[in-house]
Amino acid sequence: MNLDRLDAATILGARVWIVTIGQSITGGSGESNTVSDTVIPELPESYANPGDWITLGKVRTAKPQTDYKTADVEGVDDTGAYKVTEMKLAQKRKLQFSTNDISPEAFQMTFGLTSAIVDGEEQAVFASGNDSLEVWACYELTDAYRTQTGIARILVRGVLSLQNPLEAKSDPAQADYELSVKPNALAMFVAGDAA
Amino acid sequence: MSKKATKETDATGLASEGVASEPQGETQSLVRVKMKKKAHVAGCIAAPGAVVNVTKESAERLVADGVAVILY
Repeated sequence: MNLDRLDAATILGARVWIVTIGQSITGGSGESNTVSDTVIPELPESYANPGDWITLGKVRTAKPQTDYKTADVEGVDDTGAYKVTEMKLAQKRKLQFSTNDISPEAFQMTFGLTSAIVDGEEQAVFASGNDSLEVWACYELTDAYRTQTGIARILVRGVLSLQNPLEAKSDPAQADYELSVKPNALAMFVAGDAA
Repeated sequence: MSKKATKETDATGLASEGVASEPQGETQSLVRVKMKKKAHVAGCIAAPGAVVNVTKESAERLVADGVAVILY
């Protein structure tokens, strides 16, 4: 990890790439496979060379969000007195990020389209039941203030949706994404600069 | 099918440059394997239990290393 423990001044940047479940992956020798819960493409080599991964745009803000359930645990301790401790349980984890770059996926989810947008091809509008995409996401934190190198990468399986539909107004449009994390054995945190 | 630049010698003995399709004989035969361990194969990261298409050479190596079994 490229962080100096003695230097607290750090500005974190973030990059996010996704691949959708069902997308094809072609290997170097022509092998064809499909993205699934158990198969994902090799992680992006760099921002310039993401391989099979696509970016949803330059990330403006990003943060993990966790919903906790808390409960009091009460009992008599070694001193013979009642003590209460609080138990905190993580129940739901999300990754939220926003960008001013508006991707076809943002339009797809805003207008309830059931398949990817292709120029010139029509499809039913507001037809999707959940306005979300089943994806793998690669979330990279960078040291944006000092070295602009990667600090860590987080690979997660989840359901991608918009927190709000795209809004048309006299300001730059902003897509606020939310990735609801699904537990998966391939999900991982890797410290260090991968680029 | 991948294209690659070639330099060939024609009947007159003069070299001519062009772009040719890769010969069919060079196409690698693919084998379906089931992963026993997590591994990087065929441009993918595959979890235990995943079924992936790999080249015959990769499949033999994966089986020898105890990483996968050949399905067919």
